[in-house]
Amino acid sequence: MTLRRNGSTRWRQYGKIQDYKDFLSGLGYKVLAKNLNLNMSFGKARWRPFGRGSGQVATSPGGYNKEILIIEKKADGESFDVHTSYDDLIAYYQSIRGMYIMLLSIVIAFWESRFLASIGSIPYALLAIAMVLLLIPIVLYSRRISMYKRLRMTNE
Amino acid sequence: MIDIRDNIRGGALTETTLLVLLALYRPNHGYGISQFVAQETAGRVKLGAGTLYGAIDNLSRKKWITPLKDERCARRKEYIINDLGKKMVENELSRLNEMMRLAARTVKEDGDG
Repeated sequence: MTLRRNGSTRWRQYGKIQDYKDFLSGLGYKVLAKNLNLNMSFGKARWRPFGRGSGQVATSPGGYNKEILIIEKKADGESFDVHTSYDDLIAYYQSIRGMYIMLLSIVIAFWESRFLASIGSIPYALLAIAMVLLLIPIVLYSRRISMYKRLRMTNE
Repeated sequence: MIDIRDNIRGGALTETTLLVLLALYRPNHGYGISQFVAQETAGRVKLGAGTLYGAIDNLSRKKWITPLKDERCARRKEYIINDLGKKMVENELSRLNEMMRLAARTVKEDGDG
């Protein structure tokens, strides 16, 4: 039995995630959740940078981490697309691009910090390389998002 | 969650929204809606699971469809279109008929001229 996998990185509240998982199971898909561990914690409170509003601070089980949902189905020769509307595709790629922008911001913050100045120039070179490497996916995803936005103006 | 852009300015519904509403003239669930859309459009429109979920959630929030409680299987929620949703479909049908008449007249005039 061959399986095909697809991933969904849309950010949702915990209750909505369960509802979405049930919906996907109802379509005959197998759904697995994997933590991405993109959070910073202080005691029992965790800051989720990709959360919305008060959802950025999590203190209850199931709400700590950003999850990626891995969706499996039997390979039947049909295409396996989770997002098929331009709006959903734009949101999907914006969330991925957002993660790279967040990483780039952290790298820039390190660049600006005085800590590195005390340990030599090598870290600056590494940070410069990291910045360039992070800019590549940001630019590529931005171009894709712009393309879908242009297409959305005339097509569905 | 991205709101589907419906009923702005000209009031046109997206094709996804209209197809989902039509599928819900009888009680139906996600899988059934997906099959209805693929079958009725002869495979032209295939809704991804994420897009379909978003469409159902959006229509539910707009109160154009009503969830039905299915005690047999809590995972497969069924929905049905309500009076407000039917009114939206009827408005869309009028708009589409108007567009069809305009397009047919314009193309005919172009052919005659």
